Amino acid sequence: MAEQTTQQAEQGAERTPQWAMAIDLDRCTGCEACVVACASENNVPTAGEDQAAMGRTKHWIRIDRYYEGEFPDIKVKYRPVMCQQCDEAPCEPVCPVNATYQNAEGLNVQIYNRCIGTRYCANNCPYTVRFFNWFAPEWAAPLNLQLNPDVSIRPAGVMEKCTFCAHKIKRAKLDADAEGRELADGDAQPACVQSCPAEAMVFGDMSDADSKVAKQLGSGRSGQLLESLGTKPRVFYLEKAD
Amino acid sequence: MKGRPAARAVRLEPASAARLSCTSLWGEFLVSLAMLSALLLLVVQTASASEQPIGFSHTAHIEKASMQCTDCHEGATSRDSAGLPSIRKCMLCHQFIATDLPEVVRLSEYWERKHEVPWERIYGFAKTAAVQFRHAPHARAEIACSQCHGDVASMTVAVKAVTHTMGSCIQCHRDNSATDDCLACHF
Ligand code: SF4
Repeated sequence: MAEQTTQQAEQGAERTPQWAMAIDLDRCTGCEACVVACASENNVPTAGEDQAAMGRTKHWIRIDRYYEGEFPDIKVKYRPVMCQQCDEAPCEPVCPVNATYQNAEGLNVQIYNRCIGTRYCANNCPYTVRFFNWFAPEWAAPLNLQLNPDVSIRPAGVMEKCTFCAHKIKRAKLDADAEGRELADGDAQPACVQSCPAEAMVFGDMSDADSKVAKQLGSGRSGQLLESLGTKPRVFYLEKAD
Repeated sequence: MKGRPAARAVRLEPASAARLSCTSLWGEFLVSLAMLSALLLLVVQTASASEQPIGFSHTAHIEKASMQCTDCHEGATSRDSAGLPSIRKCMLCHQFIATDLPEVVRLSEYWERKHEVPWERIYGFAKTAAVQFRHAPHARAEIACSQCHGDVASMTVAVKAVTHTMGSCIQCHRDNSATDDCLACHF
């Protein structure tokens, strides 16, 4: 990655953005608007009752709940969890066919037509955010009528997970290109970030010191999920230190 | 079927087949094999020529009428997909021009029935390939239409002149120092 970045700098090409997300846990209300937005943006299939009972639902993003205290003096904390886009991703080295890798922009990429479905990656993911397609995807009507043409439908036998809405990043880049300008902070927005009514999530290029996300990361409140594992996630959680 | 221009001239070359010695049984077998394969070729090729509902001639529009590809495939330079024109666009001209040509008569039949022409797409990627192709950036990079679609200007009914494989895409990307990240196309 570093090699490529210097190479590009030498060629005078534009900077490679380093995508990251900051999620303010003190703002999240657990409304799950992000979960709904993600499913509809990314053509995430519904599992159906029977499969759900077997734990085979797919949620590229989920809300973990933490309870503090005893009822009725109880406090609930919500934590949206999606693929953490780790710099040292445990899922990548175990894939025998290189179907998952980190690209120059720091995205942990999943290539569907390369995946042979060994499921090693999902087993090695400490965040349990990878999902296997046991069956061909199905949508309960009328959800089948709202599929997004910008996102491929994953067939049976392949792994899928949050992409940081790579298709929207791509669209933002193409739009900027067409207008002959640089990609600006906030142009690329994953569906979850876009839909959060509490504005708990911020997405952007953390290598740009002026970006909203870089400022959040420098706020002194940020940490990572299961930091001690050394996975170096690109998703940062902001919390009041107490 | 009648009046449709064939996509490509099919050469049968029966002369060369006849030149083979027919004295032995083996020779006869060879001749019939040659003729059979030639026949098969003919069937296959006419089938591909007759796939389109109307024998639209690209060369007549581009070479003779000096039209541009983007006059009909409007999205080719600005959108994801190049697109096929609506029958309204055809009829803008063909209400008045060449109205007695058999193919234009067929076109106006669709028009009168208020139907679109059910054109067959000849390029595209299989769903399982999970390829998200965007025309606009390729047009901005000044890749000529013919690079991926062949010399359509000299074709009658368009045929798939160029096979799109990952190899050909990647090669071109590398030659033009474009990205070769898998994520550029597969998402
Ligand atoms: S949409 Fe925002 S507030 Fe609602 S659950 Fe998601 S992150 Fe939390």
